[in-house]
Amino acid sequence: MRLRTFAAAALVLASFLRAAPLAAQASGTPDFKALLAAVDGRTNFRASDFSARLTLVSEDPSKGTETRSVRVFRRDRADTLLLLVLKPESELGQGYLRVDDSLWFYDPESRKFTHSSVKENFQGTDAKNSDFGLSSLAEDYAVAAHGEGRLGAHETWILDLKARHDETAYASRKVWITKKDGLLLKSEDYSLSGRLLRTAYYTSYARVGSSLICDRFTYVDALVAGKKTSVLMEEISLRPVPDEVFTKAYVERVNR
Amino acid sequence: MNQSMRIAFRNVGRQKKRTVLLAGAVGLGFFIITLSGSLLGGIAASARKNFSAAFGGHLYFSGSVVSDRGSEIAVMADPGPLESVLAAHARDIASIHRRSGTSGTLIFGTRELRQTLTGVDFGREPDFAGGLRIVSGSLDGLSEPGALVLPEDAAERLGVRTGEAVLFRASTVHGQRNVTELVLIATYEGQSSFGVSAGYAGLGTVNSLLGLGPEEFQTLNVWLRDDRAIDAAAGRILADLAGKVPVEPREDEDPMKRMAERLLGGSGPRSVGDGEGWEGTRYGLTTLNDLMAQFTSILSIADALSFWVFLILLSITMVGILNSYRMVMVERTAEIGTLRALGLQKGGVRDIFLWEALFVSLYGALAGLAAALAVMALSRAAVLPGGTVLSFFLDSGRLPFSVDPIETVRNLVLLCAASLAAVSFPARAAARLPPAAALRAAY
Amino acid sequence: MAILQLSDVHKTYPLGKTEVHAVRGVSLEIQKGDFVSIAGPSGSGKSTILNLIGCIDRPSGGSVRLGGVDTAKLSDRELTRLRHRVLGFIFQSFNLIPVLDVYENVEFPLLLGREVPKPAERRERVGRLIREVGLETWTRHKANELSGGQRQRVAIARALVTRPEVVLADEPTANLDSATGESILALMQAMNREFGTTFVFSTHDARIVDLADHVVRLKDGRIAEEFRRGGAA
Ligand SMILES: Nc1ncnc2c1ncn2[C@@H]1O[C@H](COP(=O)(O)OP(=O)(O)O)[C@@H](O)[C@H]1O
Ligand SMILES: [Mg+2]
Repeated sequence: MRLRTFAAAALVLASFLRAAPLAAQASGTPDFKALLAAVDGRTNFRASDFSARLTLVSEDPSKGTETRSVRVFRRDRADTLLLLVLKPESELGQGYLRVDDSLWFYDPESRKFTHSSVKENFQGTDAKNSDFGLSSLAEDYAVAAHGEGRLGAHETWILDLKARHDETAYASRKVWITKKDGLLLKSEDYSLSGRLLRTAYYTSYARVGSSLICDRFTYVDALVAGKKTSVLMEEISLRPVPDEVFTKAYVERVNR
Repeated sequence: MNQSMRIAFRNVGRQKKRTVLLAGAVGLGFFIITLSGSLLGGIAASARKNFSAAFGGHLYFSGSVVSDRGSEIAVMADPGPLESVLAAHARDIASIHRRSGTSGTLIFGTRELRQTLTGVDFGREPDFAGGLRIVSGSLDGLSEPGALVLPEDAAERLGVRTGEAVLFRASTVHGQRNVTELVLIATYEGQSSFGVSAGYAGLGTVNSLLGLGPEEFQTLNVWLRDDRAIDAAAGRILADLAGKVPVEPREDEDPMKRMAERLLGGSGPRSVGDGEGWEGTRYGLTTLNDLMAQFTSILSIADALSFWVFLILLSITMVGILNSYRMVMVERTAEIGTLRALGLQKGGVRDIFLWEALFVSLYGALAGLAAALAVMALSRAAVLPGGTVLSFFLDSGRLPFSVDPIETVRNLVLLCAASLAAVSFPARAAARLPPAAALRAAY
Repeated sequence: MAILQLSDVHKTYPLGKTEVHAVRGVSLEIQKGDFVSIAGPSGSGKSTILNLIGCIDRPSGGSVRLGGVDTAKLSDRELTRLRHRVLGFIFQSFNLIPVLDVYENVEFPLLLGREVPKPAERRERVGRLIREVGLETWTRHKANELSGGQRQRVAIARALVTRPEVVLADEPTANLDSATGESILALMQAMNREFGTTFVFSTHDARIVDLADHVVRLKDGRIAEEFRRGGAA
């Protein structure tokens, strides 16, 4: 159960990688919908494959600190994904493979794949369906209000987002986007009851090829004091991933 | 009175040691099967009672609609057709309750705990409070918005005391994340692991967490008058529903999972596949028996096992009876010759043996039954510690025993039949003794 | 009229690979009301003859006619019924039913037939016989509480209760001291006179033989001597 929980969390994170910047608009009040669409567009790598190594550090006041390492392969245009656990040693070789709308969990101990539908939710996690889909800020949220402000050294637009429909993960969000590059720097995610659930900080962007990709971000749980997860992304690559990576055979073989 | 029966009846007391041994063996078997059968029956009945209390009824009708975006939303949007069908089955039904519920995470300080939460319409269910065994706090403020009642062990694990506020995080029926603040007003004797014992809050409170209107609800929970007739009642009601309204197919799914998804929710909606959709409210039915199916099958295995033990003990006893009455035949050869000379037919001699074994078996069974009843009565004095999953299978902390008269009679008949079968061999041999030769035997 | 007729009766028992010829061609007639003694040393075939007469054994050859009926043609069930209707038995070892008391032992044969007498009649008959044999203070005692002589008295009452035509007694005094034996035989004789019941008893005691009015002396399975005494029928 714990393993699957972790893998599910990693999936969430993998999709949040998709939050990455593109060129900013000119001065004055920009077209916010276009700004959000740009944020969406840069997180979804439709033109190329994507791979990286993630290091996740989860701090939980009751469980202590846990560090994990995962390798991620993505091919967004086909909606396929592979996660391979590298650390801790005890979970080495576990894999999560998503192909053809199916999600397979591989356990090297039993050498078996267990099937679960993408539509399902992961027991024991807060992972939502929407977390697994492609980022769709522009489609799901309307800008209810906007303001400006500094966040650290950056001039940002501060947007209050309201859900356009009731099946988004959050009823409302508040996002900080740099004026200069259109980079998402921070997001506050609110419950239907209007309570802050978590704050996400996108603290570092790396240039990969021609685009900027967030390679360091932190989720801070707003309900449980001291609970947060930091993610560091290294070895980012947009080079083509061999087709065979997204197969069960590969998952089995790579673990041997 | 039949002469064979009379002599057999007197013969039982003739070799007291042998009678005690045989009847003792028979009694032991009957003791074991009666005790284990009654315990298993009692456990089944207690579990049915305790689980139906925990789940709030015997039949759980859920409703779901398809949203604009093609998701299945768990809400009984239009209870009308279901309610009118239920009204037609009023004779089977003790009461009907509207419930909403979800599973989510309780947060108190830095502690988190998975917990199911059930929304109860306390205004319509004035009896609800009486069904809970309160450990701390009181149910006086039950109808206040945000009032929460938790199983004692859940409160303990969270470290929350009555009067303190906790957060409950869950998803709305649409899948949106939500959180609400609740105030613990009381804890009750329950078992929260496996999601069996729910936390309780007002229907309105739970609805607002789920993103539902104050008067909406997700399930209609039905208490039947007879908790043994769950399947029959479910079948009749479903038959009436089918054809009129969309009904979820019952067979193919794992009921535990469906229960978790539909009733406990907590994880957002599922997308409805292409061509799978329906108009209006689709009804689903989960029954207590569905939820207990696994447990019931374990029980029936145990039942079968104890029956096999009984059969094995029985066959050992039968060998004992067979051999004992072979000896009896030898000991009483001259007496058999005398009876035959006096005019008793072969069948009369045979009957003496049959009756004698029957009496011994009946004495044994009676003693075994009495011993089993005595043990049951004694065990009432022992109250097992509560607060474990075990308490779901107990009757207020006591071992539940429920003697099934039909089963007892069945076992008795089986026992007597086996004894008669065993003794029939020496009985026939005794009947066939030639009278002259029998009389020559030393008296 | 002869109540009993044996003509050229033989009885052989298998004994290992050979046979024992226990009765070798006995022909005998016993009249109604006779008080018959079958005398002879041990092993001379007395018990065998009595068993054949009593329909609890079948002859190997010859015929046994009881009350005009040829017993050879009867089934076990019919023989049993015949025994019950026509015969009474007294045994050397008394053979009371140990789980029944005196009254019940005497009453027992009455309860076996197809037509069981009414309780009042049973009480009358059983009570009268128990008085006749002098055991009215012992009715509720079990056999093991009685002396040998008392037990044999119970057996006599039991043998007579169905009002049989013939009572067979195989060495009725052999397990009794001589005084008691004599009193038992006296009782049998009294019954013979009172009810006209035919008695056939075996013995190897010469003094007892003297009480019989029809004596059949056996030797090696054959009749060595047969005579009637003092103008008896
Ligand atoms: N069942 C039997 N099997 C073999 N031999 C027997 C059996 N019954 C009697 N005999 C033999 O037949 C003979 C006559 O026996 P029995 O009629 O008992 O004599 P009695 O009563 O005069 O002593 C004896 O030699 C006896 O050993
Ligand atoms: Mg003899």
